[in-house]
Amino acid sequence: MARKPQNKNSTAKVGFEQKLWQAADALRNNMDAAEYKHVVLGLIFLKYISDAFEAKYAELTAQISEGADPEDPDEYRAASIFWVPKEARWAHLKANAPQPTIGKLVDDAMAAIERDNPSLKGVLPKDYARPGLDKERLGQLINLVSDIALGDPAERARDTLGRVYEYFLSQFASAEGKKGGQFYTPTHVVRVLVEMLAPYKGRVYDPCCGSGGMFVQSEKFIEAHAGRLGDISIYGQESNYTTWRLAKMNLAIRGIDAQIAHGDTFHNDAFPDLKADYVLANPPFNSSDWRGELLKDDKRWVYGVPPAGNANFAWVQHFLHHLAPNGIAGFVLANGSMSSNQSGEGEIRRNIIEADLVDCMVALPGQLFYSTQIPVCLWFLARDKRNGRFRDRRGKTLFIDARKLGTMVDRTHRELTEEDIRKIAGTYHAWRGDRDAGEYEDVPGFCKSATLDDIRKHGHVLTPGRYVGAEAQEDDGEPFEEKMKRLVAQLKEQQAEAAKLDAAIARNLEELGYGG
Amino acid sequence: MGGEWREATIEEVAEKVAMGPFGSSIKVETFVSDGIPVISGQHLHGFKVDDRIGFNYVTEEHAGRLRNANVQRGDVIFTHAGNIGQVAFVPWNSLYERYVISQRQFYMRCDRSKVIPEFVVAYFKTPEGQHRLLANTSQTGVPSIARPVSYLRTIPIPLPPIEEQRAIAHILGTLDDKIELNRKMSETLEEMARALFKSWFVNFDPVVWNAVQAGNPIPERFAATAARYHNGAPCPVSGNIVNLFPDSFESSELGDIPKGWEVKPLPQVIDVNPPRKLTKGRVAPYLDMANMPTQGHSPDVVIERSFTSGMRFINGDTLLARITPCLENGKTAFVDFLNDGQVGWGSTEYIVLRPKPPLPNEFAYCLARDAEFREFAIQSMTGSSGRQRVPAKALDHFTIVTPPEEISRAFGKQVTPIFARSSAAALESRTLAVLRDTLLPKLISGKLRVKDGGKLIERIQT
Repeated sequence: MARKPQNKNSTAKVGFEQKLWQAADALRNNMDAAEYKHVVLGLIFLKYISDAFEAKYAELTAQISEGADPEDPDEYRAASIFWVPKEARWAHLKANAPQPTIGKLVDDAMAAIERDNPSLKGVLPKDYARPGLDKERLGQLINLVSDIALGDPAERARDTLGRVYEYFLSQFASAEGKKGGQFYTPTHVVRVLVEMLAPYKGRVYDPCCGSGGMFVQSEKFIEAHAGRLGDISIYGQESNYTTWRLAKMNLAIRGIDAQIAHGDTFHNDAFPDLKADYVLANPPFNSSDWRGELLKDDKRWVYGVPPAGNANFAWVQHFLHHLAPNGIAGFVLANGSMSSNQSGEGEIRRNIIEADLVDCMVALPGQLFYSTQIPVCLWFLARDKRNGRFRDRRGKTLFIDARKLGTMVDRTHRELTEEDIRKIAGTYHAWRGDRDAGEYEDVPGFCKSATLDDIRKHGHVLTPGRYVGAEAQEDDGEPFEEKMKRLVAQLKEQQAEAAKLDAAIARNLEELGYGG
Repeated sequence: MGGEWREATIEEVAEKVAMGPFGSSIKVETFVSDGIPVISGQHLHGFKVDDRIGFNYVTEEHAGRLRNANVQRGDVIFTHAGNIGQVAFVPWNSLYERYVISQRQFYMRCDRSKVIPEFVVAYFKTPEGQHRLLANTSQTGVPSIARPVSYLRTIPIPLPPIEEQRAIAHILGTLDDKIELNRKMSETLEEMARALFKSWFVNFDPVVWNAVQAGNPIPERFAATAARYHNGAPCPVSGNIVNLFPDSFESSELGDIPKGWEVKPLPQVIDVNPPRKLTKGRVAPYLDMANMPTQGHSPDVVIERSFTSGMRFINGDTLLARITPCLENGKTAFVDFLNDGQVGWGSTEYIVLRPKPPLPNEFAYCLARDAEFREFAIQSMTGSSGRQRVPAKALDHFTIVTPPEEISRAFGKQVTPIFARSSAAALESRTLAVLRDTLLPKLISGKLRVKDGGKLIERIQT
């Protein structure tokens, strides 16, 4: 059995990112991946803002004769570039990398950047001086980061650092295993959501944004479809402080202007009045410690009070609450959400279905996540299925069963390929009537356009498998008469053989003295 | 024991004893789709290497490099690590002439002027043989036989004259062959029943035949069959039975169905999880998931266990495993191993199906093995914990094209004796196995002698 080739989006840089990761991981020594993550990602970020600054600095220096001042912070702010004070510039750190004081120098640099750039307040890691961090290795790590995209033109260099940051995030998620799922949703899963929703313009909201992967992919989507980044505005919230810092850096390094709040989405909604055009989210699966009992009377629970023991339908209703009149939400939930009837969840789901909000359901294959093996599904809720952009889909829901798609990339992880993603998103677009998306057709075993009545018949269970039906079965091709002829001949032979054997056994037993 | 025959060590009677390859030289990466088959532990559960189970293969060149691990017909193969105690020989009519053994096995080649492989295997299957084979076992980590090759050489075995060995092998062999034949016969019988089910209730062949004879329109779906009948293919079923079927189709929510037949939700024609009474603590036959057959309807092993909680069933019920991956693997059984009136029990993850009269009990089993039904069940699985299962309620949404009463009865008349014959074969096999295991130690030790050995030998030779 030959190993399947790894089908990552194979750009020439992949080898380079991998090599870099291996080198960085070698320096990790015996530090926890969770801890090391902040050390490495902090440095990559520092290198990025320093590079961006240096590029502008060189530009301004060239224009001194025209009155430009390369040491004027306002010049940089005007160009949305972080001002980097002298002691924080990469060249300075690199020169001092072999010194035992390097930890303190990095901390000082981080503090200086935060001091001069209020938007980064509290974002950067500042504990490089701690005794637990080996200073020699830190020096080596700084040298390693120094070499990233060295010699590339400034634009490309920044892009490369962004990609390295993202690649490292995914690698850390993999290294941390179970805990990695908290800050990272696999890119291919995010891409399905983004490709299906196609957020060209408007407000994009992720109330449990982790390290901000949804936004990075949305930005890539807009770039890929020649849209303008300025056409969307981004809102995110993340309750884990260290993850929130990762998100801030992740978006800053991409040059994405976003409002990312830190805090508990349920108890401290940072954007209470936000009505988003797109909600994109991957909330924690079946979370049981969301202190729901304190929120019994919340105005968000329009379709029923979610059980304190499972936050799934609290998330769903939070998304709905923040959806603009024409908005669409796409999010990942554990499969249980499609069929559970415990603690009133069935009731809430029924109300949401009866309100005709469910636009599309997608069942995904298992083993897509680092944190868990469980199979998950995608929900797409539309505030108004009549909305002018697509065809009128009132009373209709699209079910897609994608459980057979995906390719194993290692023994325990599956990935959706480019083609899989196109197939799923294309089916949805054709169904809802996007321009140039082609004609929609039910495919037994894969997709089905069902009516509200169909869903009622199935007891308001949303499992796509129930609706899409069975794939057409291949016949063995042997006509019945011929098969029977063959089987009868076979049976006759066996019966004759049986008679012979029975006789032989009887005689043997007789010879043993047990003739009976 | 052993007093009757002289003993000899394996060293004295073996042409060769050798180890399997190192694990590093026979890895998954070295497997190819065709070539020299690799024997693994699962092929060694009987007396003979079992060819029915699929093999991994290595290339001929690779097998050539693993010189010592190449085995041929008549070689006796043992497991030295893991599932130790296994022993089987490559049968004389094996599918391949050459095999490679894997890293947890070793083998001996008999000097056939002194000992035959059938006898060696039979000996190591006796309690005494097993004891000797496993006396040198290390229990640290994976159970394993320490220094298996040199140890095996030192093991003494009883050594009757070669003719006596052949006689013993023949007596045991006929029992084994009958067990194997019973299994094959059950397979044939079941295939017949399912072919009949498919022809009558899925492809509606007799209706197509009648429609062709009557010159009635044929729906597109059945055009290929109709064309065959036009071109002289014979009637799929004898005259008086084919007359029970209609000669035209009508449309329904399930597409074209035989005229007069009805589309009904499954629970209207088959009881799902019908109530069966069994008191807590009562000892009853217990069928666990591990022994649910993936092919054929009859489980190999049913044990007695006191009832705690689980699905209960009686003879005639069909059991369907509803949890992943058991459902996908096809774990399904037709219960025919109980006494009349007896209630057996098993996993909570079974769905029990029982057709309502006049549909025969076997109908549910044929349905449960039907590809379309299985696909429906798999599509209906729900659950988030990674343990996905089919809720019994989901079967409410499966519809069955239900035939009129006389066809149900005619089907029952055909398949009931087929299944009964098959279960009789299974029952006989169980008796034969007990007989074999009873005779084995007596024959090997020489305590039970063939009355007229000469005559038996003469008979075998002819």
